[in-house]
Amino acid sequence: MPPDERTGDFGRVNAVIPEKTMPNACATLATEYLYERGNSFADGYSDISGVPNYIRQGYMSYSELGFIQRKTLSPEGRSEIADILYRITGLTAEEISSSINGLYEPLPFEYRSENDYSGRIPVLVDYGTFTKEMRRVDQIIGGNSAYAEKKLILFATREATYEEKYAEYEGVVKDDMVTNAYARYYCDYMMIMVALLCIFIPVSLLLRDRRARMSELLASRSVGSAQFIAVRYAASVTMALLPVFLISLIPTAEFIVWGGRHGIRVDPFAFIKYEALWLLPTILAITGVGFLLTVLTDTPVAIPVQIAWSWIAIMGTGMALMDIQSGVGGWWLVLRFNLVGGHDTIMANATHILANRVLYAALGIGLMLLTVAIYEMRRKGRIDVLGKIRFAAANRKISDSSVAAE
Amino acid sequence: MDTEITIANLSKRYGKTIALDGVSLHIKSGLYGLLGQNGAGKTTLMRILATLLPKSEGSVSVGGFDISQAKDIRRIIGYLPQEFSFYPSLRVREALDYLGLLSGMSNDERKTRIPDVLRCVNLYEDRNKRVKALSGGMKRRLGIAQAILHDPRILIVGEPTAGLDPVERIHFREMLAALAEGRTVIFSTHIIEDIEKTCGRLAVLNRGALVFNGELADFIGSEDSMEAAYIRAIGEA
Repeated sequence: MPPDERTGDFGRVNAVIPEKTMPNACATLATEYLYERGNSFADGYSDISGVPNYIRQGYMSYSELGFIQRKTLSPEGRSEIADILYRITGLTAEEISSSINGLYEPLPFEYRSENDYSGRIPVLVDYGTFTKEMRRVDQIIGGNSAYAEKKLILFATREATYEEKYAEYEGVVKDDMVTNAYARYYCDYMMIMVALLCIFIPVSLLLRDRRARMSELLASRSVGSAQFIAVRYAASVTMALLPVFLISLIPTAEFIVWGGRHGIRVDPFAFIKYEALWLLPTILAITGVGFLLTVLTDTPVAIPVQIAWSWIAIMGTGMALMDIQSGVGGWWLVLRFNLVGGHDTIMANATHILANRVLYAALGIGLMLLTVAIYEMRRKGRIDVLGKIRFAAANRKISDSSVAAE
Repeated sequence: MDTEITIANLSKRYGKTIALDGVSLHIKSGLYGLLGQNGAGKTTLMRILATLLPKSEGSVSVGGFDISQAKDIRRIIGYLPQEFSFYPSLRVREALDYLGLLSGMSNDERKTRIPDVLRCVNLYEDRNKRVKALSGGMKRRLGIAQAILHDPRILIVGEPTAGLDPVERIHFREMLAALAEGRTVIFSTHIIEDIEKTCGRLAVLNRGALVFNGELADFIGSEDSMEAAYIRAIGEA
């Protein structure tokens, strides 16, 4: 429903507000500095007792794969941080801490705007100098910290205006026809499930032949390898997509009813569209990996390989989400967009998103074609990786037992 | 309709191990026995004929096609490997339907042919049973059913009687003899009695080499029994 102008409350949005951003960032930096110094030196800094160990470990940052990590600094780095704090505020870290009533637990990046120390910590520099100093802090910490320039926005919020809220509403209702916005949100979560789980379908399908001792019966039929693999590939992809599609029928039906009741036009094909364009390329690529590695090795090795790749992609794309609050995943296998709305962001990145999706769809089809070639060779007995492994293992056992006998 | 198999100087090596050593054979229509101990090279020979294994040297022609024409050969052969099974949760008729589809049979062909072959192997009454509910002998019969489903000119059957009880073995031998009418059936086994009872012609392999190829009567010759002839042929006392 449209926002009600009379309420006067339209929520809050992250924003760069120098008078809030600068003291909040300095308070957090001073806190992390003191925890880390206390932890590193165990120098009896009294306030540190009773603080959980996990926040004593240093400066919070994100690894390239999106994992939260705590960095500890060299004595030089630590001293430089103290100098930077002093240059910005004219205070030591201890003095900053005192002025905000002691240490507090540094919050995750996205919640850091909840504290407001404006007016309680003096700031002696302009915002340009501040960002330069913060860039240096980020470098000292090793990058991907809360002090990276594009993350400074997370240190402050302001009230959203009615116009902004209305524009957001209009974006969802007019540009996205409601369902498109929710389809993206749905696909964002489904992407995680699909990325981690859909590898089990092709691997179990193909390994069933070996388990059921069907491989030779199948290989001796006259069906072409291309047809045999392509049909099974299509079946695996369908099996991965089918539950996602069926579940999405529920919100689609609900939105159609809701739209009819409120006179709002909704797009009944939005979920199908996003499943086909947003999710399908990831499924194609993962199924391709499953086919290639399973046909090549006749083992379930594709499962750990793919789960590792998907995990890295999920974490990596999580970083992209953090970067611009509505990130679209760069070149990762997994695309995330954890917002209802954001039509403009999607449109601004449409070419890139399309290129990403085409890349993974092409990769999936390419891997499937490679699988056809490998299956054709395997069928003629020209490739037998598992047989070679077993042969080598058997030979090793024989040579081990002969050595033992000697 | 060409049902002949011609093998000339066929060799197969796995690294330093020689599985087949210069084997030459000419196999015509009828039931043809392939006898040898475990490791004699029977399975290797059958897998080469079924286009599932590449040869190292020599030439092979199956039903008029060179062995490199795998797709054409697969269309005219039926193959029952020594070790096989089916997806356990499928019903008997579903298993055949799937394999028939992979053999390029149309819906109508499968609809008429599946009941016929099930009757032929005496499994028609069990057509709705799941594969996991079949006995060993029934599975072997289902194996034959899948091999003859697309009415192949040449049938390659590996150790089909291994592990069967005596009555089942007799049934199986009779079935193979009946199937050999108008087609070539290569029947590989290490059970001498099976060959003696069914095959007019046979080849004997020993350590990858062909030690006999000809009529059963010539093989037995002046020996008292088939076993004695076999021991003489492979040169072991």
